[in-house]
Amino acid sequence: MEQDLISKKELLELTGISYGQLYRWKRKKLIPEEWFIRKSTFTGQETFFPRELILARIDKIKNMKDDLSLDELADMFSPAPTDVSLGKQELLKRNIVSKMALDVFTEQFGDTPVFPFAHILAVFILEKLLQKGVISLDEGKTLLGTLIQHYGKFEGKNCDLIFVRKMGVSAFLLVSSPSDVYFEESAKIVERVSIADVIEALKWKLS
Amino acid sequence: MDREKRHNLLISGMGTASGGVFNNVRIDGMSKVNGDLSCVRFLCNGKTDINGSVTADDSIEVNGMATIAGFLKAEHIVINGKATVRGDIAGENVEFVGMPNITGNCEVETLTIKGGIRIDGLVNAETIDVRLYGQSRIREMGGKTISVRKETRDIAKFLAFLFPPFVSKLSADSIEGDDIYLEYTQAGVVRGNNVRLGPGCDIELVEYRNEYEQSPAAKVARHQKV
Repeated sequence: MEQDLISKKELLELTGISYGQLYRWKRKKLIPEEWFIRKSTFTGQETFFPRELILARIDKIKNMKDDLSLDELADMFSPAPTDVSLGKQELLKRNIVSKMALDVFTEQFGDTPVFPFAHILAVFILEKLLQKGVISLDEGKTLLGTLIQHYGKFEGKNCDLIFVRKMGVSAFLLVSSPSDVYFEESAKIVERVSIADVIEALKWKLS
Repeated sequence: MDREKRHNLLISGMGTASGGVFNNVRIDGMSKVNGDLSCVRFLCNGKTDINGSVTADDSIEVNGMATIAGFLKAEHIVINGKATVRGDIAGENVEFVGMPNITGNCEVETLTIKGGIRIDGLVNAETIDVRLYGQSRIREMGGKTISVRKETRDIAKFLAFLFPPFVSKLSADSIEGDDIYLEYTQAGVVRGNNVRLGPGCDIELVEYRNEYEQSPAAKVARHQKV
C-alpha cells in the first residue's frame, strides 16, 4: 500500500517541534513505533512518517499536553482498553451512545447495570455505524455479537472491523491491523473501521 | 505476585537457576539462568549468563561479565564491566561503565556512558552523556541534550598507549538532538538546534537551526542552516 509520507525534517519544520520533543514522545509511546519508517535516500538512511496520521497526532499532543501529563496522553493513544466501566444512565447522560444503540444491546445481552470498557466499545461502534446508516438494526445485533465474542482475543492489539455485503447477505470480520484483505468481486466492503481509532475517540469522550 | 510472598534468589559460587518471579536476586560468582527473571532488585557480581530477559521494579546492577539474551528493564540500570545484551534496554537512569555491547535499542531518560561501547540500535534518551575511553560505536542517537567528550585523564592515555584499540573515538550514523556537543566523533549526519563541534570530529553533514560552532580541529564536509 503506497502511503503519503513525510520526512522527519519536513515534519519538524512544519510543526515547529524539536528533535528532543519528537524523541521524548516516541519514548513515551505517544507516537507508535510502526510510524517510524526507515528508507534509504541519497543522504543515507532517513526516517519517514505517514503524513496524515503523524500530523493529526502531533496536533493533538500539542493541544492536550498542557492539560494532561505525557503518561496520561500515552494512555489515550494506546489501543489497549482502559478499565473504565460506566452505568447505563451515565452513558446516556454523557451522550456517549444513544438510547437506540443501548436498546439493541439490552435486547440481546439482557439488562446490565454496569458496562465494562469492552461493552461500551461495542455499543459505541454500533452507534457509529447506525448513525452512518450503513447497517440495519438486525445487522447491529450480529455486530455486537462479533465484537463481544471475539474482540478480547486480540488482547489490546490493533485490529480492524470489516463489514462486507454480497447479494444482500452481510458479514462482519475482525482482522488484525495492519493487514490486507481481498474479496471476490461481487462482495462489497461497506465499511472498514480501525478499532484503534475508535478506542482513541472513545477515550477522549470518556475522559 | 504479592511482593511479600516473593522469595529471594541467591547464588554464591557456581550455580544454575531457572527464571521466575523473585524479590531480590543476587548472584556472586559464576552462574547461569535459564529463563526470564522478574524481580524487585537484581545484582550480579562475576560472570553470568542469562538466557532470557530481566525485568526489575527497582534496579539492575551488573558488575563483571554478563551475557543477557533478552532485554533489560528497570528504573535504574548500572552495568560495570563487559556486558552483552542482545535485546533492548528500557529504564529511567542508566549508566554504562566499561565495554557493554548492546544489540537492541536503548530507550531511557538519562544515559551516562563511560568507556568503549557498542550499541547497534537506536539510543533515545532525554540526556545522553558519553565519556569516551576507547573505540565506541553507536548507530543512532536521538534526544534533547547530547554530549560526547573524550576522557582526558591519564588512565585513558595510558590505555591507548598500551592497547591501540583504546584510541578514544566514537562512530555513529546519525545524531539528532536539541543541544549537541561532540568531540572525537565520526558521524554521517548531525542534526540539531544548537550544534557545537569540538576537536577530532569528522562529520559529513551538519544541519542546525539556531547556533553552530566548530573547533578549528574539527573536520566537517558540509554544514547548513535549515
